[in-house]
Amino acid sequence: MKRFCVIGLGKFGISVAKALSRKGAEVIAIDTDEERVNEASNFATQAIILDATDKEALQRIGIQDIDAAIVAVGKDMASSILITSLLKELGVKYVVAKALSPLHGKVLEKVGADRVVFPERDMGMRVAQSLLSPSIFDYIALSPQYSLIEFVAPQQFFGKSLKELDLRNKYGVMVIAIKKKIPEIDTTGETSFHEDFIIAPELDTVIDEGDILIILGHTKNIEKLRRL
Amino acid sequence: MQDPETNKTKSKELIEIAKFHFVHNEYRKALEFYEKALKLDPQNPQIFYNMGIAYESLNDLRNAKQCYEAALKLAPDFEQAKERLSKIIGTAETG
Repeated sequence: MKRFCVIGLGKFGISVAKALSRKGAEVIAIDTDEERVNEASNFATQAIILDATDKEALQRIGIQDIDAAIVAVGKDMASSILITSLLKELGVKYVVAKALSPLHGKVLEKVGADRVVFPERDMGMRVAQSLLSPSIFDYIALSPQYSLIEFVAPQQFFGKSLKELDLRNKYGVMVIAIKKKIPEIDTTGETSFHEDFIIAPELDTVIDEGDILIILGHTKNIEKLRRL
Repeated sequence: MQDPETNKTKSKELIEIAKFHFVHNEYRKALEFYEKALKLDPQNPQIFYNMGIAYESLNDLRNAKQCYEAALKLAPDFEQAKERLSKIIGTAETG
């Protein structure tokens, strides 16, 4: 079983710790605030009140033996940088650190963070995108130029095959998967559906109402699609 | 005005027609028949639940959510409706 340590139990830290616990991982949750540690003790393997900027304290709890640490310290940039640097110094194999700004992210990388995440910025972009276009269920910016989106098939697509739609030539985007809902009647006699996930769909696949297309493409081209 | 029992029987027939359309991917048609059924039997949580499923199939999560909520208002212990509603709310939070 994998062992993780989450340092900083704000909203982000708590949700990371919870998700890891739910997946069956061993989670050590750390914060200086007693109330937050108490909350984490409901699901974490161990919940400890500890100042993670204290190198010896980290050593005492055996931090060097964990598989990955998540530095989710909230607003205190100096602490988050110090903790990240200490964890690498103590030999933690993989450190994920939450950054509040691009500059903060750069410093975290410099002190050895293996991965820097910007949860507020990323979520903000996803929310903005979904508000701008209700037909986009999810949005991941792969790079400043390329995005991956979950796109509700617009009416113009219904009954047409991927070959007829020719999105690659018309819009410069690629349909990499299609989620199709398969209607059914369940054992209680009520209607229900399950989702079929067609990866790398054939060109003769026909788009039906209710389908969700997973599309990869240049952000500019995706914008064009969005306007449909 | 028909008596309530006759209305319920008629409503059941309409629900069956709606379900027939639903399993043939004709979600909008299904919704039309559910609406008709609902007029005859407005307190039936099953109709709202099935409408929720049809709206979800059309990716109309807003209406789906309202239907599941209406079903749960009439039948607070409706497990399937609870399950679908929590899934939709989960989608909204992450998406």
